[in-house]
Amino acid sequence: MENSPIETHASSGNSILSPDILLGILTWVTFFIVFFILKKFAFKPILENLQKREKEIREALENADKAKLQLTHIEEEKQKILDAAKTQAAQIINQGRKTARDLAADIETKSRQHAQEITQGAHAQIAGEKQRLLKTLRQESAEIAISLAGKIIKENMDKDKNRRLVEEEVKQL
Amino acid sequence: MENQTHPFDLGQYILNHVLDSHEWHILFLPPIKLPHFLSLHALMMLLGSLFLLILFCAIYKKSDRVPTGVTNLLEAFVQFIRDDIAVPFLGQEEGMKLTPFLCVLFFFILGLNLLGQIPLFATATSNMNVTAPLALITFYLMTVATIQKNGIKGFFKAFVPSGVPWPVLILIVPLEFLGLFIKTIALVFRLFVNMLAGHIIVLCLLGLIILFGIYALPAIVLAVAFSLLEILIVFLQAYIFVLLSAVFVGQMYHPDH
Repeated sequence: MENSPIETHASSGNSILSPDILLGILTWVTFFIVFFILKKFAFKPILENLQKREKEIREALENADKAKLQLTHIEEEKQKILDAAKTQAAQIINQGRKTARDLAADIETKSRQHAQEITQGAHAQIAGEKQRLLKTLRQESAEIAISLAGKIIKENMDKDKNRRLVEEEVKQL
Repeated sequence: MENQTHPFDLGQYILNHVLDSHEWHILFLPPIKLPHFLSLHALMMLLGSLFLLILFCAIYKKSDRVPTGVTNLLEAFVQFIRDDIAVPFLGQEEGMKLTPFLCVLFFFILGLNLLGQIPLFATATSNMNVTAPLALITFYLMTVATIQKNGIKGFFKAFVPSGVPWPVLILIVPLEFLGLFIKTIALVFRLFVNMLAGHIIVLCLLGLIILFGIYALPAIVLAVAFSLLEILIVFLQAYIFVLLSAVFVGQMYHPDH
């Protein structure tokens, strides 16, 4: 009967289950060399890096939360300030309008008074001027009448001549 | 008679590929003879270790404030081992202490497993003589390190579950003590058998082509599919080995939990 391949290998000292002390020791040696090198130069720094990054991320998140909270407060504060500013602005505008209205009314009243005074002054001046002119007219009319009467008396020859004389005098007026 | 019909011995072919030897067969080249002290699996282990050292000491960028690419990938693994394996099963203090060990164990096994998936290379972890020393390190942590930490009384306390009546303890304590060895042996076999079986299946499927010629060509599709599954198994086995190591050590370190 022929041996199976596994048995053939086993009989030649090389099977799946045959122990190999040398390979075992080499495995330990290799593993521990890799372990000590990687522990010192790789995994320690990697783990430190990870912890550092986790800490940074945690802090960054906390800071972000704080900033968010602060921002909310600032927003509220801003809103309050804006509301106050709006109220104040409305008050200022109302006050301004009222002042402007008062000022306009005052200016109007004063203007009216002034205009009235000017009108009254002008009326008085016109009346005085009128009186003065009338007086001058009366005096001049009297003088003309006297002069005319004198001329008429002096030149009283005929009626036509008188008429002409009167007409000339009238024209001179 | 059958051998005359098929001079190709599939069993021998598969064993030649999966067993350790002192020859490295590279396609189209004469086999490279390895020295007596260095078998093929030992060479693969050295290559895998060298790759790990290059990966972590040269490719990984420690100074990156915002990690990208490979650095990010490696950090994700390290963080996973720390947060989901080491700390939950070993506690905060012990977990942080043992994280570098568990990381090296994970990457060492993963590196050797992955190296075996590359054609022309061999899987060192499909050899019991590689997985056994690794499991023995876990065994050391479960025994010597536990005695150093908890004292001899604390060590034996782990075999006595609380709240169990004493007659039952007579049965349980020896079983629990035996469990210490069974767990270690399970670690050894689980990894090496999984890696070995994966390769044997792929080689069986490819061997069908040599045996039956073109009629067995669809086996290539199966072999490719199984190789993809094998990549998943490679990660899974590395994870399971590290996870169980952490669980077993954690059970011994904190017997009350």
